[in-house]
Amino acid sequence: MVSTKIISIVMEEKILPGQILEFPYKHDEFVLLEAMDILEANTVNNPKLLLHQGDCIFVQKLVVRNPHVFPASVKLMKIRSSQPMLASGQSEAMKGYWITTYLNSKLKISDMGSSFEVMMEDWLKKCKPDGQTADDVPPDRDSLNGKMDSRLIRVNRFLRDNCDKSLSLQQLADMIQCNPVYLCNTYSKIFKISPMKKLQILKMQKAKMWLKDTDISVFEISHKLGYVSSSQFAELFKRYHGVSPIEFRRETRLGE
Amino acid sequence: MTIEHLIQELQTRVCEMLVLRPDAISAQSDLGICGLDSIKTVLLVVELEENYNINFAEQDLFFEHFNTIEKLAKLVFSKLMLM
Repeated sequence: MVSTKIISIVMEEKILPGQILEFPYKHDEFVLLEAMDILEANTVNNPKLLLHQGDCIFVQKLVVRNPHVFPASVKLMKIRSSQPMLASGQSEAMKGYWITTYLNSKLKISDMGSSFEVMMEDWLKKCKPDGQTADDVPPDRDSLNGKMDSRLIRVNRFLRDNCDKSLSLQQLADMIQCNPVYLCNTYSKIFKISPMKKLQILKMQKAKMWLKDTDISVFEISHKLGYVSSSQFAELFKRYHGVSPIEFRRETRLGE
Repeated sequence: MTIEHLIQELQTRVCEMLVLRPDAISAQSDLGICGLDSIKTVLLVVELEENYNINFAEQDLFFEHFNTIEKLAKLVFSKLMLM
C-alpha cells in the first residue's frame, strides 16, 4: 500500500534577484514546485532547465535561481511517499521527472486539497523505475502555430504611414471593423500606450525629422501634422523633446 | 548589414523582451518554449516593422515563421534586401 503525505505547503516563497534556492530533500521526500515567474532550474537530469510561469516540477533534488533584477516567487509543496521504488533508493530514474505532463498544467498547487494526495498516489503507482526522465518527456507547452491576428499590426502600420494626417479613433476602428472602445482598450493593454498617444509620438518624431532635414517652417509643419495652431504644436513638441521647435532647428543646424 | 549581424541584434532584443540573459537562447531555440507567446509575437512584429522600416506580408504572419531567431532573421533579411 502506497501512502503519500503532504508535509508542507508554502503558497509564496520569494526568491531575491540572483538568489539560489536548494532543495536537498531526503530519499523519501519530494518537492513539487510551481514557478510564478521565469526561473532557471537545475535538476539531476536537466542541468539547464528554464521554468516558465505556471510550470510545475516534481523532483527530489532541485536548485532554482532567480535570473531577474526583481524578486520572483514560487509555490512549494513538500511530499513524503512510502512508495518502495521511491523510498528504497531505486528512484534514480525518477529524479527530475517533469510532472507537468501528468498534471496537464491544469492542477496547480493553489487548487490542491486532499484529493491531490490520492492523485499523487495514483501517479506514483504508474511510474516505473525505468520510466522516462525529464530529458525524454517533452514539456507540456505547445509551440504557437497558425495565423496571427494581424489587426493591431495593421493599425500600427496605418498610424506609421499616416501620422501626418488627422486621424480619429473611429477611423482606426473602422479600418479593422471593430468598436473604437474595444480597439483602444486592446491596443492599450498590449502596447501599454493608447493608439492616439502613439499617433502623437509618431507626429512628434516626424516633426523632428522635418525640422532637421528640411526648411519647412514651423507653422507649415504644425499645419501639415494637423494641429490647429503652431503654438499648440510648439507646446507639445517642447513637452516631448525638451526644447521648442525653433530651438531644436537652431541647435541641429549649429551642430552640423 | 549581414544576416549574422541581424541574428545577433534579434537575439539581444528577444532576450530583453523575454527577460532572459543575452546568451540564454541560440538562433535555433524554440522561442515559444522560451516564453514568446502570441501577444509578445505581435509586439515583436510591430517593433521589427518600425525599427527596420519594413512591412511583413499577410502570408508571413504565421507564428511558425517567428518561432526561432534564425527564421526571424531570414524573414527580416529578405525584406531588407527588397528595399
